[in-house]
Amino acid sequence: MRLSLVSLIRAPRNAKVPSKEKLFDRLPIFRITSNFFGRRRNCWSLAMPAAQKGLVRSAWGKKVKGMYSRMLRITRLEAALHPYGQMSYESFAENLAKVNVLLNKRILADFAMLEPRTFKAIVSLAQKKQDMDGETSQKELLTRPYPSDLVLGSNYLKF
Amino acid sequence: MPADPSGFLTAVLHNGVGRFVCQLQRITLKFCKEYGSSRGVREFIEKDLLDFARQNPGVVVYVEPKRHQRPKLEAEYLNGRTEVMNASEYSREQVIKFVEQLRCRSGVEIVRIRKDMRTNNISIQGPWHPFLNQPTEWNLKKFPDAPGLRALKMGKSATDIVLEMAREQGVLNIVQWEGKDPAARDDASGKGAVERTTDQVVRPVTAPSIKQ
Repeated sequence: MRLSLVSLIRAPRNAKVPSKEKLFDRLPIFRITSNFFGRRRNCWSLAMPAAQKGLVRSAWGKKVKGMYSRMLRITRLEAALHPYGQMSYESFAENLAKVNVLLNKRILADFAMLEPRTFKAIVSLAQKKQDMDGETSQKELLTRPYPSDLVLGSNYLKF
Repeated sequence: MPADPSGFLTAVLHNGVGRFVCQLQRITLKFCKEYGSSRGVREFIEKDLLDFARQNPGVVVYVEPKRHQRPKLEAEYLNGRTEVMNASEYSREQVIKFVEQLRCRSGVEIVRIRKDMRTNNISIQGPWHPFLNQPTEWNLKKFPDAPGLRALKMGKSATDIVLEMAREQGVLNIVQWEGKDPAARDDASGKGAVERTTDQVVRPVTAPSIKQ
Protein backbone atom coordinates (compact mmCIF):
# COMPACT_ATOMS: atom_id res chain seq x y z
CA MET A 1 0.00 0.00 0.00
CA ARG A 2 1.29 3.40 -0.92
CA LEU A 3 0.44 4.77 2.51
CA SER A 4 2.25 2.15 4.54
CA LEU A 5 5.40 2.63 2.48
CA VAL A 6 5.29 6.35 3.06
CA SER A 7 4.75 5.88 6.79
CA LEU A 8 7.59 3.38 6.91
CA ILE A 9 9.94 5.70 5.06
CA ARG A 10 9.09 8.84 6.99
CA ALA A 11 8.96 7.32 10.45
CA PRO A 12 12.09 7.40 12.64
CA ARG A 13 14.01 4.17 13.13
CA ASN A 14 12.53 3.02 16.41
CA ALA A 15 8.98 4.12 15.67
CA LYS A 16 6.15 1.71 16.28
CA VAL A 17 4.54 1.47 12.83
CA PRO A 18 1.73 -1.00 12.19
CA SER A 19 2.44 -3.81 9.79
CA LYS A 20 1.21 -3.80 6.23
CA GLU A 21 -1.36 -6.46 7.00
CA LYS A 22 -2.77 -4.47 9.88
CA LEU A 23 -2.95 -1.30 7.78
CA PHE A 24 -4.62 -3.18 4.95
CA ASP A 25 -7.30 -4.53 7.28
CA ARG A 26 -7.95 -1.13 8.80
CA LEU A 27 -7.89 0.85 5.58
CA PRO A 28 -11.66 0.66 4.88
CA ILE A 29 -12.37 2.35 8.20
CA PHE A 30 -9.69 4.97 7.65
CA ARG A 31 -11.23 5.69 4.27
CA ILE A 32 -14.51 6.52 6.00
CA THR A 33 -12.83 8.79 8.52
CA SER A 34 -10.60 10.51 5.99
CA ASN A 35 -12.41 13.83 6.42
CA PHE A 36 -13.14 13.70 10.15
CA PHE A 37 -11.78 16.07 12.76
CA GLY A 38 -8.52 15.54 14.64
CA ARG A 39 -7.29 12.22 15.94
CA ARG A 40 -10.49 10.45 14.91
CA ARG A 41 -9.12 10.64 11.40
CA ASN A 42 -5.88 8.75 11.95
CA CYS A 43 -5.84 6.93 15.29
CA TRP A 44 -7.39 3.47 15.17
CA SER A 45 -9.02 3.26 18.59
CA LEU A 46 -10.75 6.60 18.00
CA ALA A 47 -11.43 6.10 14.31
CA MET A 48 -13.24 2.79 14.73
CA PRO A 49 -16.16 4.06 16.88
CA ALA A 50 -16.22 7.34 14.97
CA ALA A 51 -16.66 5.48 11.70
CA GLN A 52 -19.40 3.33 13.18
CA LYS A 53 -21.26 6.37 14.42
CA GLY A 54 -20.80 8.04 11.05
CA LEU A 55 -22.29 5.05 9.28
CA VAL A 56 -25.27 4.95 11.64
CA ARG A 57 -25.91 8.65 11.04
CA SER A 58 -25.56 8.18 7.31
CA ALA A 59 -28.18 5.41 7.40
CA TRP A 60 -30.57 7.65 9.34
CA GLY A 61 -29.96 10.41 6.82
CA LYS A 62 -30.78 8.16 3.88
CA LYS A 63 -34.09 7.24 5.48
CA VAL A 64 -34.99 10.84 6.13
CA LYS A 65 -33.66 12.21 2.84
CA GLY A 66 -36.90 11.40 1.03
CA MET A 67 -38.92 13.34 3.58
CA TYR A 68 -36.64 16.37 3.37
CA SER A 69 -36.63 16.30 -0.42
CA ARG A 70 -40.42 16.25 -0.45
CA MET A 71 -40.66 19.20 1.92
CA LEU A 72 -38.13 21.16 -0.11
CA ARG A 73 -39.96 20.54 -3.35
CA ILE A 74 -43.31 21.57 -1.90
CA THR A 75 -41.73 24.76 -0.57
CA ARG A 76 -40.26 25.46 -3.97
CA LEU A 77 -43.59 24.92 -5.71
CA GLU A 78 -45.36 27.18 -3.22
CA ALA A 79 -42.81 29.88 -3.99
CA ALA A 80 -43.04 29.30 -7.73
CA LEU A 81 -46.83 29.67 -7.67
CA HIS A 82 -46.61 33.01 -5.91
CA PRO A 83 -46.11 35.20 -9.00
CA TYR A 84 -49.07 33.59 -10.73
CA GLY A 85 -51.67 34.71 -8.22
CA GLN A 86 -52.89 33.52 -4.87
CA MET A 87 -53.23 29.94 -5.97
CA SER A 88 -52.30 27.58 -3.16
CA TYR A 89 -50.17 24.51 -3.70
CA GLU A 90 -53.03 22.27 -2.60
CA SER A 91 -55.45 23.60 -5.20
CA PHE A 92 -52.71 23.49 -7.83
CA ALA A 93 -52.05 19.78 -7.18
CA GLU A 94 -55.77 19.02 -6.94
CA ASN A 95 -56.56 20.63 -10.27
CA LEU A 96 -53.64 18.95 -12.00
CA ALA A 97 -54.89 15.58 -10.79
CA LYS A 98 -58.37 16.43 -12.08
CA VAL A 99 -57.05 17.03 -15.59
CA ASN A 100 -55.03 13.81 -15.36
CA VAL A 101 -51.60 15.42 -15.32
CA LEU A 102 -49.63 12.97 -13.21
CA LEU A 103 -46.30 14.81 -13.05
CA ASN A 104 -44.58 14.23 -9.75
CA LYS A 105 -43.27 16.93 -7.42
CA ARG A 106 -39.68 16.42 -8.49
CA ILE A 107 -40.41 17.19 -12.12
CA LEU A 108 -42.72 20.07 -11.29
CA ALA A 109 -40.12 21.65 -9.01
CA ASP A 110 -37.40 21.17 -11.64
CA PHE A 111 -39.63 22.81 -14.25
CA ALA A 112 -40.30 25.73 -11.95
CA MET A 113 -36.57 26.17 -11.49
CA LEU A 114 -35.18 25.40 -14.92
CA GLU A 115 -38.05 25.44 -17.42
CA PRO A 116 -40.15 28.43 -16.32
CA ARG A 117 -42.23 28.71 -19.48
CA THR A 118 -43.34 25.10 -19.27
CA PHE A 119 -44.24 25.69 -15.65
CA LYS A 120 -46.29 28.72 -16.61
CA ALA A 121 -48.27 26.58 -19.05
CA ILE A 122 -48.89 23.95 -16.36
CA VAL A 123 -50.05 26.60 -13.88
CA SER A 124 -52.41 28.13 -16.43
CA LEU A 125 -53.83 24.66 -17.08
CA ALA A 126 -54.56 24.18 -13.39
CA GLN A 127 -56.03 27.67 -13.16
CA LYS A 128 -58.28 27.05 -16.15
CA LYS A 129 -59.60 23.85 -14.58
CA GLN A 130 -60.21 25.70 -11.35
CA ASP A 131 -62.15 28.37 -13.25
CA MET A 132 -64.20 25.80 -15.09
CA ASP A 133 -65.17 24.10 -11.84
CA GLY A 134 -66.11 27.48 -10.43
CA GLU A 135 -63.74 27.20 -7.47
CA THR A 136 -61.80 30.39 -8.03
CA SER A 137 -62.69 33.16 -5.63
CA GLN A 138 -63.03 36.74 -6.86
CA LYS A 139 -60.09 37.74 -4.71
CA GLU A 140 -57.87 35.17 -6.38
CA LEU A 141 -59.00 36.24 -9.85
CA LEU A 142 -57.96 39.81 -9.09
CA THR A 143 -54.47 38.79 -8.02
CA ARG A 144 -53.73 36.89 -11.22
CA PRO A 145 -51.28 38.79 -13.44
CA TYR A 146 -52.15 36.75 -16.52
CA PRO A 147 -55.51 35.34 -17.56
CA SER A 148 -55.67 31.57 -17.47
CA ASP A 149 -56.24 31.43 -21.26
CA LEU A 150 -53.00 33.23 -22.06
CA VAL A 151 -50.68 30.29 -22.67
CA LEU A 152 -52.84 27.43 -23.87
CA GLY A 153 -55.76 29.30 -25.44
CA SER A 154 -59.41 29.35 -24.54
CA ASN A 155 -60.42 26.05 -26.17
CA TYR A 156 -57.67 23.90 -24.73
CA LEU A 157 -59.68 22.26 -21.99
CA LYS A 158 -62.84 20.64 -23.24
CA PHE A 159 -63.95 18.74 -20.20
CA MET B 1 -5.68 8.14 4.82
CA PRO B 2 -7.37 9.36 1.68
CA ALA B 3 -10.98 8.66 0.89
CA ASP B 4 -12.10 6.12 -1.66
CA PRO B 5 -11.46 7.62 -5.07
CA SER B 6 -14.67 8.61 -6.74
CA GLY B 7 -15.54 10.65 -9.74
CA PHE B 8 -18.17 11.82 -12.14
CA LEU B 9 -19.01 10.68 -15.64
CA THR B 10 -16.40 11.91 -18.08
CA ALA B 11 -15.62 11.61 -21.72
CA VAL B 12 -12.06 12.45 -22.66
CA LEU B 13 -12.23 15.79 -24.49
CA HIS B 14 -15.90 15.19 -25.43
CA ASN B 15 -14.86 12.16 -27.47
CA GLY B 16 -17.77 11.11 -29.64
CA VAL B 17 -19.28 14.57 -30.06
CA GLY B 18 -18.40 15.23 -33.68
CA ARG B 19 -15.41 12.96 -33.99
CA PHE B 20 -14.30 9.79 -32.24
CA VAL B 21 -10.65 9.02 -31.54
CA CYS B 22 -9.65 5.59 -30.26
CA GLN B 23 -8.13 6.23 -26.87
CA LEU B 24 -5.87 3.20 -26.86
CA GLN B 25 -2.36 4.22 -27.82
CA ARG B 26 -0.39 0.99 -27.56
CA ILE B 27 -0.97 -2.53 -26.37
CA THR B 28 1.82 -4.84 -25.22
CA LEU B 29 1.35 -8.60 -25.05
CA LYS B 30 3.83 -10.13 -22.63
CA PHE B 31 4.00 -13.89 -22.64
CA CYS B 32 6.26 -16.87 -22.18
CA LYS B 33 7.12 -19.05 -25.14
CA GLU B 34 7.33 -22.14 -22.99
CA TYR B 35 4.97 -22.21 -20.02
CA GLY B 36 1.36 -23.34 -20.23
CA SER B 37 -0.25 -20.32 -18.65
CA SER B 38 0.62 -18.31 -21.78
CA ARG B 39 -1.05 -20.75 -24.15
CA GLY B 40 -4.05 -18.59 -24.81
CA VAL B 41 -1.93 -15.54 -25.50
CA ARG B 42 0.31 -17.51 -27.83
CA GLU B 43 -2.70 -18.78 -29.79
CA PHE B 44 -4.06 -15.26 -29.98
CA ILE B 45 -0.74 -14.02 -31.36
CA GLU B 46 -0.62 -16.78 -33.96
CA LYS B 47 -4.20 -16.42 -35.18
CA ASP B 48 -5.86 -13.13 -34.26
CA LEU B 49 -3.18 -10.54 -33.68
CA LEU B 50 -2.58 -9.53 -37.31
CA ASP B 51 -6.28 -9.00 -37.89
CA PHE B 52 -6.45 -6.84 -34.80
CA ALA B 53 -3.45 -4.79 -35.92
CA ARG B 54 -4.87 -4.27 -39.42
CA GLN B 55 -8.29 -3.27 -38.11
CA ASN B 56 -6.81 -0.73 -35.69
CA PRO B 57 -4.09 1.20 -37.52
CA GLY B 58 -4.02 3.80 -34.76
CA VAL B 59 -2.95 1.32 -32.09
CA VAL B 60 0.68 0.25 -31.82
CA VAL B 61 0.97 -3.42 -30.98
CA TYR B 62 4.03 -4.79 -29.18
CA VAL B 63 4.78 -8.43 -28.54
CA GLU B 64 7.22 -9.06 -25.71
CA PRO B 65 8.34 -12.57 -24.85
CA LYS B 66 9.32 -12.81 -21.17
CA ARG B 67 10.79 -16.09 -20.26
CA HIS B 68 9.09 -18.04 -17.45
CA GLN B 69 6.87 -15.12 -16.44
CA ARG B 70 3.13 -14.74 -16.27
CA PRO B 71 1.46 -13.38 -19.41
CA LYS B 72 0.12 -9.87 -19.31
CA LEU B 73 -1.88 -7.49 -21.45
CA GLU B 74 -0.62 -3.96 -20.96
CA ALA B 75 -2.58 -1.11 -22.47
CA GLU B 76 -1.44 2.50 -22.57
CA TYR B 77 -3.93 5.26 -23.26
CA LEU B 78 -3.77 8.75 -24.69
CA ASN B 79 -4.25 10.37 -21.29
CA GLY B 80 -1.07 8.70 -20.03
CA ARG B 81 -2.59 6.00 -17.90
CA THR B 82 -1.66 2.32 -18.11
CA GLU B 83 -3.87 -0.67 -17.49
CA VAL B 84 -2.25 -4.04 -16.87
CA MET B 85 -4.21 -7.26 -17.00
CA ASN B 86 -2.91 -10.62 -15.87
CA ALA B 87 -3.71 -13.06 -18.67
CA SER B 88 -2.38 -16.29 -17.18
CA GLU B 89 -4.50 -19.41 -17.89
CA TYR B 90 -6.66 -17.43 -20.28
CA SER B 91 -8.05 -19.18 -23.33
CA ARG B 92 -7.73 -17.67 -26.78
CA GLU B 93 -11.36 -16.50 -26.70
CA GLN B 94 -10.81 -14.78 -23.37
CA VAL B 95 -7.76 -12.96 -24.70
CA ILE B 96 -9.75 -11.80 -27.73
CA LYS B 97 -12.47 -10.55 -25.42
CA PHE B 98 -10.18 -8.65 -23.09
CA VAL B 99 -8.07 -7.14 -25.84
CA GLU B 100 -11.30 -5.83 -27.32
CA GLN B 101 -12.32 -4.50 -23.90
CA LEU B 102 -9.03 -2.66 -23.51
CA ARG B 103 -9.40 -1.20 -26.98
CA CYS B 104 -12.84 0.17 -26.22
CA ARG B 105 -11.94 1.84 -22.94
CA SER B 106 -10.91 5.41 -22.46
CA GLY B 107 -7.95 5.71 -20.13
CA VAL B 108 -10.10 7.07 -17.32
CA GLU B 109 -9.69 5.27 -14.01
CA ILE B 110 -12.52 2.99 -12.96
CA VAL B 111 -13.92 4.51 -9.78
CA ARG B 112 -17.26 4.75 -8.07
CA ILE B 113 -19.36 7.14 -10.12
CA ARG B 114 -21.13 9.58 -7.87
CA LYS B 115 -23.96 10.42 -10.27
CA ASP B 116 -25.13 8.29 -13.15
CA MET B 117 -25.95 11.33 -15.26
CA ARG B 118 -24.01 14.34 -16.44
CA THR B 119 -24.97 17.37 -18.43
CA ASN B 120 -23.43 20.73 -19.18
CA ASN B 121 -26.78 22.27 -20.11
CA ILE B 122 -29.30 21.78 -17.33
CA SER B 123 -31.93 24.04 -18.82
CA ILE B 124 -33.34 24.44 -22.31
CA GLN B 125 -35.56 27.45 -21.68
CA GLY B 126 -33.05 29.09 -19.40
CA PRO B 127 -33.22 28.92 -15.62
CA TRP B 128 -35.55 31.10 -13.62
CA HIS B 129 -34.31 34.52 -12.57
CA PRO B 130 -36.12 37.19 -10.59
CA PHE B 131 -36.83 39.46 -13.56
CA LEU B 132 -38.33 36.74 -15.73
CA ASN B 133 -42.03 37.34 -15.09
CA GLN B 134 -41.74 41.04 -14.36
CA PRO B 135 -42.82 43.79 -16.78
CA THR B 136 -40.22 44.50 -19.43
CA GLU B 137 -40.39 48.26 -18.73
CA TRP B 138 -38.08 47.50 -15.85
CA ASN B 139 -35.24 47.16 -18.35
CA LEU B 140 -35.25 50.94 -18.77
CA LYS B 141 -35.52 51.80 -15.10
CA LYS B 142 -32.68 52.76 -12.79
CA PHE B 143 -32.87 50.89 -9.55
CA PRO B 144 -33.38 51.63 -6.69
CA ASP B 145 -34.76 55.11 -7.34
CA ALA B 146 -37.44 54.14 -9.82
CA PRO B 147 -40.57 56.04 -8.77
CA GLY B 148 -43.05 53.23 -9.08
CA LEU B 149 -41.02 50.92 -6.92
CA ARG B 150 -40.65 52.64 -3.56
CA ALA B 151 -41.77 50.68 -0.58
CA LEU B 152 -45.32 51.59 0.35
CA LYS B 153 -45.57 53.25 3.72
CA MET B 154 -48.73 52.01 5.25
CA GLY B 155 -48.55 53.73 8.59
CA LYS B 156 -46.61 56.25 10.62
CA SER B 157 -42.88 55.92 10.93
CA ALA B 158 -41.20 56.06 14.33
CA THR B 159 -39.99 59.59 13.57
CA ASP B 160 -43.52 60.75 12.92
CA ILE B 161 -44.76 59.25 16.18
CA VAL B 162 -41.98 60.89 18.19
CA LEU B 163 -42.54 64.28 16.58
CA GLU B 164 -46.25 64.06 17.29
CA MET B 165 -45.63 63.21 20.92
CA ALA B 166 -43.16 66.07 21.21
CA ARG B 167 -45.61 68.58 19.77
CA GLU B 168 -48.43 67.35 22.03
CA GLN B 169 -46.23 67.82 25.04
CA GLY B 170 -45.41 71.31 23.92
CA VAL B 171 -41.78 70.92 23.10
CA LEU B 172 -40.64 73.93 21.16
CA ASN B 173 -37.06 73.32 20.03
CA ILE B 174 -37.69 70.72 17.46
CA VAL B 175 -34.97 70.48 14.83
CA GLN B 176 -34.99 67.91 12.09
CA TRP B 177 -31.48 67.04 11.12
CA GLU B 178 -30.89 65.80 7.60
CA GLY B 179 -27.10 65.62 7.76
CA LYS B 180 -25.29 62.31 7.66
CA ASP B 181 -22.81 62.89 10.49
CA PRO B 182 -24.59 63.10 13.88
CA ALA B 183 -21.41 64.26 15.61
CA ALA B 184 -21.29 67.45 13.54
CA ARG B 185 -24.65 68.47 14.96
CA ASP B 186 -23.24 68.91 18.45
CA ASP B 187 -19.90 70.28 17.31
CA ALA B 188 -18.82 73.08 19.64
CA SER B 189 -16.48 74.70 17.11
CA GLY B 190 -19.45 75.73 15.08
CA LYS B 191 -18.66 74.08 11.80
CA GLY B 192 -21.90 72.25 11.56
CA ALA B 193 -23.77 74.76 13.66
CA VAL B 194 -27.29 75.47 12.82
CA GLU B 195 -29.53 78.10 14.15
CA ARG B 196 -32.02 76.47 16.46
CA THR B 197 -35.44 77.91 16.44
CA THR B 198 -38.78 76.69 17.56
CA ASP B 199 -40.03 73.86 15.53
CA GLN B 200 -38.01 74.85 12.53
CA VAL B 201 -37.18 72.29 9.94
CA VAL B 202 -33.54 72.91 8.97
CA ARG B 203 -33.50 71.23 5.63
CA PRO B 204 -36.75 70.67 3.94
CA VAL B 205 -37.72 67.09 4.35
CA THR B 206 -40.32 65.79 1.98
CA ALA B 207 -42.72 63.98 4.22
CA PRO B 208 -43.62 60.61 2.78
CA SER B 209 -47.13 60.46 1.40
CA ILE B 210 -49.05 58.06 3.53
CA LYS B 211 -51.48 56.17 1.38
CA GLN B 212 -54.66 55.24 3.12
